[in-house]
Formats: sequence, C-alpha cells, structure tokens
Amino acid sequence: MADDNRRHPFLHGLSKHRGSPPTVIVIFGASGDLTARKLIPAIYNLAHDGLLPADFYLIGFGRKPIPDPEFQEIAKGAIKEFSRRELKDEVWSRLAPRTLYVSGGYDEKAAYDRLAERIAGLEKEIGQELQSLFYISTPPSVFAPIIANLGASGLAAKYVGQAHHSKVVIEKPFGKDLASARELNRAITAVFEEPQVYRIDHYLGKETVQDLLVQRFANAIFEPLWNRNFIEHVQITVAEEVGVGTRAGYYEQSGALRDMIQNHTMQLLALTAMEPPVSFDPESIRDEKVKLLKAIQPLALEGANSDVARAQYAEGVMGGKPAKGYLQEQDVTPESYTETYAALRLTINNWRWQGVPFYLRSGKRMARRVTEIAIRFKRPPGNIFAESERFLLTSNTLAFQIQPDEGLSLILNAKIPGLETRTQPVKMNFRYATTFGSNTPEAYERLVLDAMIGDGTLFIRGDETERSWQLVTPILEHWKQRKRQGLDSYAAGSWGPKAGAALLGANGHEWREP
Amino acid sequence: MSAASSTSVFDALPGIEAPVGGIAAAFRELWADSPAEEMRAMQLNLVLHLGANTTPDDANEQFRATVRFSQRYPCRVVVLCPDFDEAAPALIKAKIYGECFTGKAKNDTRCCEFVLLYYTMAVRSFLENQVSVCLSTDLPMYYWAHRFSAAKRLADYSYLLTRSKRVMFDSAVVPPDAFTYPWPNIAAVRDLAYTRTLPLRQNLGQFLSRYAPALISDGLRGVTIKHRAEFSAEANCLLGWIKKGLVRSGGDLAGVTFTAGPGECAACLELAFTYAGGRKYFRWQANLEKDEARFEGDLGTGQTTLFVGAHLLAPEAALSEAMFF
Repeated sequence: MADDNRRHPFLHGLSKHRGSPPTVIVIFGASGDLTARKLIPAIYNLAHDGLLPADFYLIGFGRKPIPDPEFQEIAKGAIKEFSRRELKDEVWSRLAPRTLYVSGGYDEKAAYDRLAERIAGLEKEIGQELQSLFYISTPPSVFAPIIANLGASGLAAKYVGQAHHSKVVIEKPFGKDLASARELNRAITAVFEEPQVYRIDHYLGKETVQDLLVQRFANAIFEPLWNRNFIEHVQITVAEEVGVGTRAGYYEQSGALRDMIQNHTMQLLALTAMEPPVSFDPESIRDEKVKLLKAIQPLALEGANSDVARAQYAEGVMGGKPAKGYLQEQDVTPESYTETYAALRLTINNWRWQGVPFYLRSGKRMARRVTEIAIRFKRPPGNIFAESERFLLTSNTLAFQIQPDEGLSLILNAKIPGLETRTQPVKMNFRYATTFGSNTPEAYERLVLDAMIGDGTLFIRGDETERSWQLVTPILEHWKQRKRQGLDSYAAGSWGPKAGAALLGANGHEWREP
Repeated sequence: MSAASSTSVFDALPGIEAPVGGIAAAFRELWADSPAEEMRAMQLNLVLHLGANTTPDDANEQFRATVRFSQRYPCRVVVLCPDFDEAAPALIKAKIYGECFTGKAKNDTRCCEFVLLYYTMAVRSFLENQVSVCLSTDLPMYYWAHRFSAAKRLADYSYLLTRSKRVMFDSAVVPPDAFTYPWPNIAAVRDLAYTRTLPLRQNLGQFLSRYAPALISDGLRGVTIKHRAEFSAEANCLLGWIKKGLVRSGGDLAGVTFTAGPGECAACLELAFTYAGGRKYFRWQANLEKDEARFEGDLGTGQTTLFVGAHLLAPEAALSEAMFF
C-alpha cells in the first residue's frame, strides 16, 4: 500500500503491471531467431492485453539496413507465425507505426548516436521523456561493444536517479566461464548500475517456477518437511528430445553444462533449496539464492566418488525412428568431446540440507522433453507394512513439472480396495492447464513487462551468475584437459548414460523417468 | 425488455432437470462414460443470482458470460432463479449443466459444472442448505448479484453473502442506491461497471501520469464526461475515479464542477478538463466500438496528441477482474 501511495494519483489502484511508464524498447539482434519467436510476439501480446503504455515504441537495431516499413512487415510476419494469439488488425495498426528500425554496426559509435537522436526525436514529438529498455539478444561476442557504446553515447545513463532510468536486458550466456562472467559483469557495471541490469533466464518467467515459491512458502504442509530430516534427495531434470540439429557450431562451444546446468538448472536448484526470504522483494529473494549457491560444496571431479558425469548421445531410436549419434551430426568432428549430457551430484553445506544429495541432469536426445524438480521424501519409520509381497510401497515424491504440462504431482501410498490390506503407490495430480486454462502469458511477456516496470525479482543478479560459474568452471577445465577420456555415451532416445546413473547408484538412488 | 417470472427464466436456461436431493448422482450420470471425468477441475465457487427484473434473454446472456468465465477459471457455478411471487407454494427445482472446452491439447481440456436452482419465496429459509451442498466449500466463493434490487432481501442470502470473498453487482442494471444496501461486508462489494472501465482508467492514468499532479489540478474549473446513453454507469464510474485522482493530487476542488451526461457522439465516451484562463485544456475522446481513443491537451508543457485503443472489458473479463483484483 505504501508503494501505491507513492505512485502518481492517477495510477493509484491500478496494478503495477498496468502502470508502465512511456517506454522505448530497443532490441539488439533484431533479425535474430529469439526476436522473431519470442520477443516480438511477447510485445504484441502485451499490446493485445492493453499492458503497454500509451507511449510505447519498439526499435529494432541491427547491422543490416532495413527501412521502417520493411521491419514492420518482418515483425508482423513473426507475430503471425509465432504469437500465441492471432494477429488482430486493430492491435497491430496501433503498434505498427511505433515499430521502427535503426541500422548500424554493434561497435559503431555513430550508430548509437543515431539511435540516441531517434529516441530524442520521439521524445520531442510526443513531448514526453521515454524510458529506454535495451534488450541485448545477440551472440555474446558483441555484448561488450554494445554495452560500451550504450555508455559512450549517453544512452545508458539517461534519466539515472529517476524511476524511468535506462534499463538493459541481457540474454544468456552470461559468460562462458568464471573469468569471462566477471569480465562481462565488469563491462556492464562500468556503464550501468546493477539496478539497471536485468539478466534474463526465461525459466524464471514460467508459471510453475514462480509457483514453486508459492507452494513452498504459502503452504504450511511443505516447509516443515523441507529439510534433511524428511527429504532423502532431490532430482532436477532438464531433458530435451531434440538433438543438436544444425546448431553444432554454437553447441560445440557450449555443451550441456554451459547451456543448461550453469543457468536454468542452477536457478531451479536455488529456488528449491534457498531459505525463506524475509520478503518477496527482488533483493531479498536474490540474496537467499546467492547464499544457497555459496553453500554448495566443491565437487569431486575424478575417481570412484566423482560428483560429475558427462556423455554424448550415440545412435538410437527416437519416436520409433532411427536417430544419429552426436558425432554423426553436421559440423561435429570425430574428436569432439562436447558433452550433450551432464549430471552433477551436489552437497549443500548448511543446517537445512546437510547430507541430502541434490542431483542435477540435463541432456539432449533424451527419451522425453521434460523439465522437473522431484523431491523424494524419506520412508516412514517402523515396519508394519514390511511384508513386501502384500505391500508395494514407494517413497513419497513431490514433483514440480516445469514443462511441458506444467503442474505438480504427489506420489502417495494407498490401500488397494478389497478385503485384504494391500497397498500400492498412487499419484495426485494438479495440472495448470486443467485448472487455470492454458492461454496464460508466455514467460517472455511477463519478463519484458517486469523489466519495463523495474521489477527485478525474476532476473538474475551479477553475483548469482559469478557464483554459479565458480561451481562449474573447474568441471569445464577438467573436462577440457581430459578431452574424450572418461566421456560416456548413451543411446539417443534413452534416459542417459550409465555414468549418470552411477552418481545416484552410489547412494542407492535412481533417476526418475518422468 | 420486461421482467419475466423466474419459472420462465429457469426454463429458458439450459440444463437437465435433476432431483434437488440427487444433484451429485445426476452429475455422476452426466459424466458417466465420458473422458470428462479427469478434466473436471475447480478452483472456486460462483453463485449467479438472477434478480427480480431478469428476463429469459438477459438470464441467458449472463449464463453465457459465466460459461466463458469458467473456461478460464474452472468453477462450480450455482445459478439462483428465485420466484418472487410470495403466494407461490413451496417449491424447489434443480437442473444441472456441464460443458467441456477443448484446449490446444487433450490435457488442456477443461470441464465445468453448473447447478441451477428455481425456488419460491416460501422455501427461501431452506435455500442456504440446498446451495451449500452444491458448493465445494473448501474453495473460495464469489457472488454475482445480477439485478439484485431489494435491500430487504439481503437477509435471505446472508449465509452466502457473508462467506463470499467478493460480491459483484452492475450499477448499470441495479438501483442507484445499491452500494448503500446493508451488505454484510461492504469492503467485498464490487461494481462491474467500474471494473469494465479498467482499460480506460489505465490509458487515462498512464497519460495523466506524464504530468505532475499540480499541473493537472491547478486552475481546473470543470470536468465533463459526455456519453452515449447506455454508457451512463461507466461514465459515472469514470467521473468518480477522476474525482478521486484529483483529490489525491491535492488540488483545491472547491470551484470545480463535475458533470456526466448523455451527449451527441456515436459509440463514445468523451472526457474534458477545462481550466481558468483558457490556455490549458485536456480532452479524451473514445470510440468504444472501434477500440480507439484520442488524447489531446496542453497542461502547460506543450500541445500533445496521442491515439490509443479504448474498449471496455468483456463481461467475463470484468468478472475475473472484480473477483481477483
């Protein structure tokens, strides 16, 4: 309420998401895949829902000279192809004339001056200051020149000290190791202050991920059990069905650890295991995430007790059809040691989680596309149901399914109806789509709007990225030294390699096959 | 549109007649052998109370709005069709209605359930028990008092009204003093006409928030809203909202006149601020059918013109806005 009282009298009572200031979003990488598939459709859907400010402009920035009308057609095509809603003329007719383009090289200072002039021209035209939101959706190699030029042109510092100060949204990867992440953070903070920076991990925009905090901290039944006394272990899986396809050029420089574990999976881990924040404000949540990441112990990289596993997919069968192995993919050399599967066994050294293993895995060409967090509880004490012939029992498991088919399930043991007491596991399901309908905003809609209104809760702070890289960089260096030595393989279409199973097997645990 | 007896309202609504004491069994039969069993989800209870002046057509219109609402927010809906004839003998009749919505995929299919109750005034003291067994009482309840126009009847529904998280009525179709009825919890009462204006308040709010509050209120002499006849309730809601905004701006409103009335404009709502001296002005002209509006003004910082969308929330969206926000 205090926040509401500080707002303009004519925004009082409107939700914060309906009070965005006049804004221009500048997308660097305007001709990229992400822009077409996600960003432009997200902006269109925000316009459709009336959530954009009346004074809103979109400027595409790219190397290729494109006249405004042509960029408008490109944007329109992207909406038609990728938007969750059909293109409505009445919505597009208002957005189209506000969809503009500025061309120039990412390292060309004069191009940024032109951009600054264009924004100043818009401000003059409407008689209003515009908040600039710079969305960097380019390959990481040009992050630094873009950021430096936003600084040199004065765009980064525009309106600093006021609520409508310039903001920058950066897409992953936030570096390729600890050193480069630190270098990137230095480059960013030389130009922007941390509250101006929004590092995006679209997983955090997903409803189920946000729901994780609600489930944990708004339900009294879970949090008392959320510790080493009741939880046996935790599994986080980010599995993809797709192979590397035509993206080997990128993937060879990345691999599963960089591409998925260091960012998405670590964020899921942090939200699952962090302590309750003192409030729901962005800094409180991010402080707790960093504390959790700091409590993760260094990993054993070699020997029988190794905490890490890696593998490449080999030939197999996907959906009944033969699938080639990673080494047979286009642009992959026979010497490649890029992991398409990575798994970690983590130990968190704090009061809550001492002795509870956290297993993380991510892979391509796995049996099913699924992202889930599974909390496996300990068995109850006592043995009144010990007779295994009659009593089929399992550990209670609470599984948050992030995608697809968002929801959560709880596995319980129940009596089979009948005169004799026999038991079997049963599953209680809550599915978002069934309960709330599926036409919910996409992650990017939420995140773009949050950045516009200056809410950083669902974005990653610089120290989070560095801590995460601190954990995985030694693994990357170790694997680089060993090249293909110790690299396991798994059949395309399977649930992963033996090496991955062994991480759990050592503790008598098994991966779920969700 | 003249009011009809509630028997005809009840008869006009879709559904299958079921014994009042056997509603659960009737639903079991309705869904038997249907894949809908696993698709039935519920997150809230909604009571749609069809008041004294509801016609069969009007009832169907609100029923369909509720169906559309339940596509987005699966719920158990209880539709109350009271018969206001005090001389009518004691009678309760029930119908059930189920509908499934096919989504993008099988697991996106959702089914919802409606219970329709016709009752005469003679049984109204037993009504709450009949309704309570139709609800999922662990989940929140909301009450839509459509055309509810008699303060004296509130007591008949105190069980439901007291337990409802929100109570909605529409100032476009209830008496002007509806807000002064002795609602059990006035803080829970929402006006759907006000809710419908959300997109307009958002646009106006975002535009006016460009200016320091003092710029808006200094020298203000008049606030006028012209509207097409059927937007009278919305115009009054907007005028009230503007007045509150100006009060919060801290300006002296003693000499400011506030008027809302029908004007000559098609599909329109028009708002104008007039100022002493004549140099400052602000105008907003909306065509709600075309979903467009034009801002024009000079509040001391230069002339501005801006075109935006302008529409009212659809009934089902207004319901969800009033219920959840």
